[in-house]
Amino acid sequence: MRQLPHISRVYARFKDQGFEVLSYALDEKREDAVQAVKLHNMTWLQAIDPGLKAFDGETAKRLFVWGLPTAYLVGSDGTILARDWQLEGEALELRIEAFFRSAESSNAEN
Amino acid sequence: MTGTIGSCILLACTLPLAAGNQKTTVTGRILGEDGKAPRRAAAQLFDSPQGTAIITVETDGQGRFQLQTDRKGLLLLKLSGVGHLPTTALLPLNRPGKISVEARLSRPAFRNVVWKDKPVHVRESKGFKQGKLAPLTDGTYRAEIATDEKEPTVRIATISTESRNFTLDHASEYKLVGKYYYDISVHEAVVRPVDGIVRVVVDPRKLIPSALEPELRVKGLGPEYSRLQEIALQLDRRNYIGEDKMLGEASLAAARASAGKFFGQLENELSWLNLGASLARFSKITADDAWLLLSSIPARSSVWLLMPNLIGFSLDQLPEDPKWEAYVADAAANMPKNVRMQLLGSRFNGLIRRERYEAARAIVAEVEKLKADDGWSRYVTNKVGGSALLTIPGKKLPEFVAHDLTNPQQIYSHGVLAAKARVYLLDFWASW
Repeated sequence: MRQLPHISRVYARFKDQGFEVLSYALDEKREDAVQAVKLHNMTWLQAIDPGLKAFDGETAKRLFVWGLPTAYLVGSDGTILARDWQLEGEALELRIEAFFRSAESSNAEN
Repeated sequence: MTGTIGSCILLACTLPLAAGNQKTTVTGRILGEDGKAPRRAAAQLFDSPQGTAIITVETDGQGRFQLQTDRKGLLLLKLSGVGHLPTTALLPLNRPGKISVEARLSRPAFRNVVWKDKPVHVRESKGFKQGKLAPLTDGTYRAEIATDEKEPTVRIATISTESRNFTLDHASEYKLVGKYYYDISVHEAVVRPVDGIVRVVVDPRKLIPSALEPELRVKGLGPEYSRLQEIALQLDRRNYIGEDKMLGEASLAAARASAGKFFGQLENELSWLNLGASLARFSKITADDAWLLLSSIPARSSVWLLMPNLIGFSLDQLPEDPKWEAYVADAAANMPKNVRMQLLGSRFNGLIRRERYEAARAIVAEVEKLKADDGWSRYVTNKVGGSALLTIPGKKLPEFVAHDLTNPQQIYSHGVLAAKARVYLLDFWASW
């Protein structure tokens, strides 16, 4: 939750340049997550385990979600570019900024 | 009594205990803000921090008192005086000894107090009797409640939103004094009715805002106490001069209360937990502060593991420091298996946070050797042994399928996301 304001800001800034966010709720009540999404105005993609099994859900297990925070910044080839410990607070924005800057410069070279 | 003897008591003139004496003696002095003994003052010893009073003694004309107890455990000493705010100290009494206490109480501060019609309760064995404060023409407010009890408890409920911390003092006519800050809503005192009537008198004009902070010095509990007290004050001083004066005051008060609770660190872990909870509530603590505090906690104490959580830091977020390395190594070697597991897990997390993945890999082997099977150990074994190093930057994210929050038929996988975006964030969160 602490990360939310940062995600909001970065999403607003980069969504039109090819940045997407999928927030995966580990709630056991769908309604709790739905309410929080509304309350915090989380306008990006939202997911939850269909069986509402939170940490025991299939997806959480496959992606080794043992606790919070857990986050993956992923490139279009499926490579993990950064993990939660590299994305805290302002670091998220700096990472995304650097990604698009280097993407632009490599485009320019080509 | 001469001044020399008086200061001997104040300065913890510790006398050797007579053999076979199993009692703890607490001597002390209660002074008012002006440095003189209050008109009446009392020391009360409670059987636990939230418990009931087991001994009440009034002070002599110089504000001195002495009490003895053979109780052991974590006791609370409350010192109060007419016209002043009371102060408390936790006393971890684990062996007979001699403790000296010197308190300089502070006067209450107040503002925007609404007195009219506020309820006053007298608690009797049969239940509660209630009266209300009514204004008199002389500017005071009074409530009079008849009672059959000899020493009932009188309680005054919340006075106003801004003035919440109140107390009844030990005057013969029971006057209300108070100090505003955020937390405590109700105060109470044991009183002795005159002719079967409890009279509560509030005179707002006589409530003088305090210019001084209360002081409390306790001696006889070991040298660690004073060091820890310093640390607590140091941590909170900065907050006091922070942007929010009111919060700063509250946090300073909390730090002082915490400092009182520092006593027990060596034998009583509860004190540490109380301190942590206070600091967590009131303080903005930096990683350096946290480390300062943590490095003062005795090694091999399980509190050492809980404190970072209470003060809002994980062990793995602490700054790198050779002391910390040594500390963890010592603790890991000497603690029970499950605690050791937690330390290793924390150490592991710390290493991957700093992107020292090779060093983290070495811990995996250590964790696997322990083969413990409680909940925490399973967490660590799974995370450390299994997954964390598989999903560090540079690795491929495992294939996954995610279902939309409100429309479970809508599926998100890497393929779906990669088609929409050049880079995406997969963030796990929870509303709780």
